[in-house]
Amino acid sequence: MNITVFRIDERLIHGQIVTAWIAYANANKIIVADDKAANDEFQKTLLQMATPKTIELQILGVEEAIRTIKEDPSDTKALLLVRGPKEALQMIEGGLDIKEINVGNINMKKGKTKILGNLWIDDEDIQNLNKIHDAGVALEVRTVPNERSQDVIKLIGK
Amino acid sequence: MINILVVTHGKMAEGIVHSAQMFTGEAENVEFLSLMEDMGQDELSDLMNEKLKRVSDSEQFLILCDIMGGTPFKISSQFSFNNDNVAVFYGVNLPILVQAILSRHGQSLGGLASELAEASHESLGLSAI
Repeated sequence: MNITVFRIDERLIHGQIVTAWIAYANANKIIVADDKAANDEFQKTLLQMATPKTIELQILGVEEAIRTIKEDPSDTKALLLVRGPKEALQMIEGGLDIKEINVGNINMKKGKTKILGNLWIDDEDIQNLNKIHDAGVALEVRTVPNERSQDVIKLIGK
Repeated sequence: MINILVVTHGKMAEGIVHSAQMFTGEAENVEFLSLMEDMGQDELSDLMNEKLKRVSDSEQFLILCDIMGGTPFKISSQFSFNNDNVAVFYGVNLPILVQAILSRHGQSLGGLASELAEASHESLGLSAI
């Protein structure tokens, strides 16, 4: 499997994914790697409803997603979605060969600090993002493909 | 009473409710919510919860959202799940909103929702001229 876009987005599949990122990734497939969604029938139904009919969707727990991607020798282009930096780090530590991660939406929550309108982080997020960076993976913030790309590590270092 | 709640990305909801009332006149129980760029989905969910507090057999809600699969659609669907007093329609446009406002009286929520789904095919197209 060829992961053409790896994105952190706590909304998983939503409008920006459906209208812009699937086309940008040239993907035939979406992998949602999320333990919560994988164990929640209602979330699964919603995510399936949100996915265009021409796109194959797999909703897997994080560990299962790592295995599935590694074991698939085909060159199927896929868009990979995780909820937050923690899950992204888990995928990198699990040995996924990724050069770049796109950060879409990490939204406002109590205890999080605003970096950009769509990027709110706490200490745990910062640690996880730095670990991803240290593993040699570039991190960019961009909500939609046509927007200017910004370096996450530079932004949080400020 | 069927209440109408329009929920969209950005200010479309406010704008379309304003536009619709140019056709329907001032309409009661037509509300809107906007998902803005810096809002999380939890915040939209809280706002919707507030609007839908008075849902009951006699106060039903038709939620009109903008695109299938978008965050307004997903959050709305959480409120219609297992609740016959809330229905969610996606792909709202001006003719659909006008029709919803004008033909909701004396209708069941299910009846109104299916009427709109049928009418939706006729609300888009190319001019023959």
